[in-house]
Amino acid sequence: MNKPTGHILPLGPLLELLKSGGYELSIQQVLEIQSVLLNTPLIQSSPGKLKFILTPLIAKNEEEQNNIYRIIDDWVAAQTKKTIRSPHPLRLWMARHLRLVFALKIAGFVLIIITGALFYFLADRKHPATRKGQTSVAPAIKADTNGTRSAKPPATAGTTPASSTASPAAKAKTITSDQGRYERPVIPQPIENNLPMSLVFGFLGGAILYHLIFYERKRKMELEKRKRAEEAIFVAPENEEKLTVGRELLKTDPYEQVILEFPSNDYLVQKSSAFAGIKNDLKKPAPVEHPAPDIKKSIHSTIRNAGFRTVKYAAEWKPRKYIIFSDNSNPDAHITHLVNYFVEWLRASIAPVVHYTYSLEITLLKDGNNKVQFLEELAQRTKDHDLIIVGYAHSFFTEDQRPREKVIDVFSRWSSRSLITPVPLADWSEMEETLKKRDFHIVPAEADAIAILTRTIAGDEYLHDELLAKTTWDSYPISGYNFQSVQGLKEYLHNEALYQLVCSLAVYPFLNWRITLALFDAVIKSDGEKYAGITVSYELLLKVARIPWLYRQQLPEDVRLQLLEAIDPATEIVARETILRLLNEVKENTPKGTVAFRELREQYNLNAFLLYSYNRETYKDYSASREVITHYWNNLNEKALKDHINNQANNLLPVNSEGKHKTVEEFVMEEEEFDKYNVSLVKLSLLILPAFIIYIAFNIIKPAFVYPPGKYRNVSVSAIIEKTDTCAQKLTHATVTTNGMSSRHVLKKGGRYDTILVPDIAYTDLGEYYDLVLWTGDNRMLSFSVLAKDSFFIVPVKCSE
Amino acid sequence: MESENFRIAFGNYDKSPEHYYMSETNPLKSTIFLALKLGKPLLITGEPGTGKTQLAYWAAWYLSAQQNTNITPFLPQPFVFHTKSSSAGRDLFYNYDAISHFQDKDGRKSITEYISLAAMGQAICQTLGRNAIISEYGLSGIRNINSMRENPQSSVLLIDEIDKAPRDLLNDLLDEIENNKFYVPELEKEISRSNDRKTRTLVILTSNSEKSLPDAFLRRCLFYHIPFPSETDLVRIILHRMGPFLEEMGSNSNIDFDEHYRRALGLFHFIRTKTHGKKPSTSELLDWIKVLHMENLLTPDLNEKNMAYYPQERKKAMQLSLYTLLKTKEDLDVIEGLLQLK
Repeated sequence: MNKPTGHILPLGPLLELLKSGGYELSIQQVLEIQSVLLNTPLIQSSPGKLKFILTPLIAKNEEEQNNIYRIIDDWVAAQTKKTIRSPHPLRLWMARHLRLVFALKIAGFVLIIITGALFYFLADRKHPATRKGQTSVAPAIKADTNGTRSAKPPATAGTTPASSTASPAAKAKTITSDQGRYERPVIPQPIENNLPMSLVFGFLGGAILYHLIFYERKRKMELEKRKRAEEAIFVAPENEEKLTVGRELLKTDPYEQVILEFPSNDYLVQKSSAFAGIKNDLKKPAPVEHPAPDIKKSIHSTIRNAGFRTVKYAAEWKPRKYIIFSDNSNPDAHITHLVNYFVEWLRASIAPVVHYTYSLEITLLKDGNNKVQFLEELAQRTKDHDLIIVGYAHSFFTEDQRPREKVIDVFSRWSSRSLITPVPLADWSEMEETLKKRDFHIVPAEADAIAILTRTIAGDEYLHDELLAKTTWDSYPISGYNFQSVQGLKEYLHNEALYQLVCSLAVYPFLNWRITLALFDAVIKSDGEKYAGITVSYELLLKVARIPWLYRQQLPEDVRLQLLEAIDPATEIVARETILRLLNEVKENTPKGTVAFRELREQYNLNAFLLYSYNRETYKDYSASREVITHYWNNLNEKALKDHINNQANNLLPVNSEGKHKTVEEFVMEEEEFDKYNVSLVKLSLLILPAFIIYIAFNIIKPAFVYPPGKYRNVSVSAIIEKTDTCAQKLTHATVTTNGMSSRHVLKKGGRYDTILVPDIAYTDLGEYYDLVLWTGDNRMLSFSVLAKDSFFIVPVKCSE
Repeated sequence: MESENFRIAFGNYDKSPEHYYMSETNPLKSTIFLALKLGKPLLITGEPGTGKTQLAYWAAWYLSAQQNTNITPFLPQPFVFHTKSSSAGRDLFYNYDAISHFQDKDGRKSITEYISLAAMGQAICQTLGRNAIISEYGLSGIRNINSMRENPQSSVLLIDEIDKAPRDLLNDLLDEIENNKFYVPELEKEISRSNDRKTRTLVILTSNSEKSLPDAFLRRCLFYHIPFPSETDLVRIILHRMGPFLEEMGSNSNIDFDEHYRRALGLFHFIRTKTHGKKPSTSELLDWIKVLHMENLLTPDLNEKNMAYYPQERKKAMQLSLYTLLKTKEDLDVIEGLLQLK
């Protein structure tokens, strides 16, 4: 079951959209739509199914069903589209200032290292002893050993118990001592493991991170590579010939697809109100001149009239039958597609319509199954039909513009014969006039003009030139413009927005009706303000389709170059995005290895690359195109695009130091170089920075496992023995017992002071003791238990004779 | 060729509604419910062979199996009206045997005995039930009255190939659809459908789009065009519909037909795209698959590129199988040429 997506779809705009697409929506239908939707929680739960509810209520034929599906799909997609989260401005800024960001990264790297060093050195200066090993004896005190006693009062006095013991034999000769005194409390150095731990954790963490990141990156890259190989898009195949405009030349296999089959998007064409008039007129029945009696009805009526003869006639009106010939001389021309669109719409709206096409020779026609039919036979068979020809008048004339009398005579068998010509009224020549004189109803292809024609057909009337001229008052000529220059094109289009639309056609190397529709639709929708009042209407398409190079289906390279230079960046971005969308749509259905797929891949890479180069952050999904673009660029056979980019005029590529847009090679080279630097910096940072960062962090936070509370480094203290003259002679040595180890120290004979260094003694908050025992030559001793909390313990010793 | 094997039937036994494939996501289902909800007729178009007529049978079968207290149970079979170019509006509702009546010069029989209800008349009367029709309208003599159920029932009404109908019939149909009643002048009686909103009639109209239908008519209908099924749907349709056939054939159910059918579909699509005349549709595909089964042509090398290398006998079998798909000599020539079967 679908979870509610929480989308609230305002139906009003959708119904408006459908109305503008030419679909009639009566009040009854709107009410029905509302009543159905009120009972269906579909809008919230599954907006994608909205089309299945609305379409049956609106559509009247297959074509309309498909078109409405597409319209609703597009609309729902636009409404429910996860707003492509526009990248954070900071990310965008970073993407646009790669060099500056790189410099900042280096600065950050150096800053962290300096900070770490500062922490290290400052901490060291705060506790200088840490650098001098275990001793904490101040040099000043040592000077005391020369007899200069510190006048300073003892920091702690009388707290140390002094005891004097002597062997029983020597009881009479004693060594005594006043209470010793303590001086200079030891500044304890708490134990900290920051440096080793930071180094260990830092390097270890860095190494793991390095492994994870680069291993994952490698794995991801391999996966992507495999995926790309499967999709065969962002890959650079070898040994492929260059694609040429004459793609069919490469065709070797009869089963091979050569042209990309873009999905039909005729539904995008907006129909004006004239279309409704055309449909209504053509649906009107024709009067039956001599209705035949209806036998069945007559019998029935006679019976009901108690046997009195009652003759009933068949209907006095009959449905009109139409036969349409359309010019298919250039099947890929935009005007042919537009004509076909119109004919298909007619067929869908007013079945039955018999449709035949002709190519160059109007006497040879083909039906939907490509079966050839001769004009003579058709004229005989369908003379009761209304004939509508959609094509050029020159089909009825010889090359030297003389009427083909025989052909015109055959056409005269249709009592109602009309010609809808793509030639604008203003450009009509003698040919059109001649046909008019031969009772052809001739109108230009504008919808309003066709509406006049159909009204004439429905009423079996005469087509008045004045009415036609009045209706097509805004007719424009096509002759007199130079379509080989953009200036001429601009003058013809006479509208900057329209000109930009035509410019967008230059982003794809081949002219294609379906691409044109998609591009026009996307570009118009991209900027409501700029394209206000412009829709992908039949009239707009007619104006564009009349451009001669769109008829020939070949955009001259020099015109394409000019168009590429004239297109504004915003339009180019939308156009290239649209091309990518279209290519994505046909990707699944285009067999790999075909010429068509090669075109798809080439165009995909080109467009993806150009978008990526414009904005690396927004189009990061296309970053893989950078790796293969060199291959495609070198093999590209599009002179106009190559010149345009090599002239450093493409607005999508970033600007170089000279202020010009980069070329493809320049961009790729710089990017690759830059990538290398970036990767190196990342590697270095991963290996070094964690240790520094941890060191700084520990220094600031001081966690217990790095800085254990109440634990200090061992200290060194000194015991200073202050001897009387007698003692100076008698005391021979001293023993210091600390941590269960004793050491013997020979005392200076004759000296008043002796300093005994007691190294590496534990420092605790309660205090550790060491034993100091002074010995005389005759084995008398005096022992002290000294608290090792002060740097100096000064003990005066007296000896009696 | 095992064409003489009469054990194999090509009958309609596998066309029963339960074998009609309708995926859960098929919009047709929701469209049917939409038509029921709005009380509007549903116009179905589509290529011949896409199952338009079968849809009505399926709808009746499916709806009759639903348990819903808000709706009177449906009849499991639809009422069917096959439109002819000569059909008149009255033909939808009842048939009056005027000739027999004319012959009954003594007038011994009641006039109702010359009347039989047609599909739409039956559907309207069934909303009331046989008992009510007899008691309220006194129509006990109607020829086919006994084919109706005693009690009111909802039903599906299929009006097949409506595009064949003359314009008058469409106009009559419009009125009757709106008013839900019909007048029998011979009896001078107007029969209206039940006012009970729980008793519904789902009207399904099919059209091959051979003739345009009036806009006013189209506006009153819901429309759905059955598109040609997707590849996945085709495989499912084949698997659904081939079940009884395979059972009858005694085919080995261990074989992975899914894979074989996909291969056959590849070839079918190739043929379909190259056909100029009438494009083969689902029903022709099913027949073709049956032939492929019978001729043991469902092999891993079933592919348009491999046919040229088939032994002569297989080529011939394949050639014959094409008759189920292609209807014109031109198409046969083209496809045989492309497949190099000649």
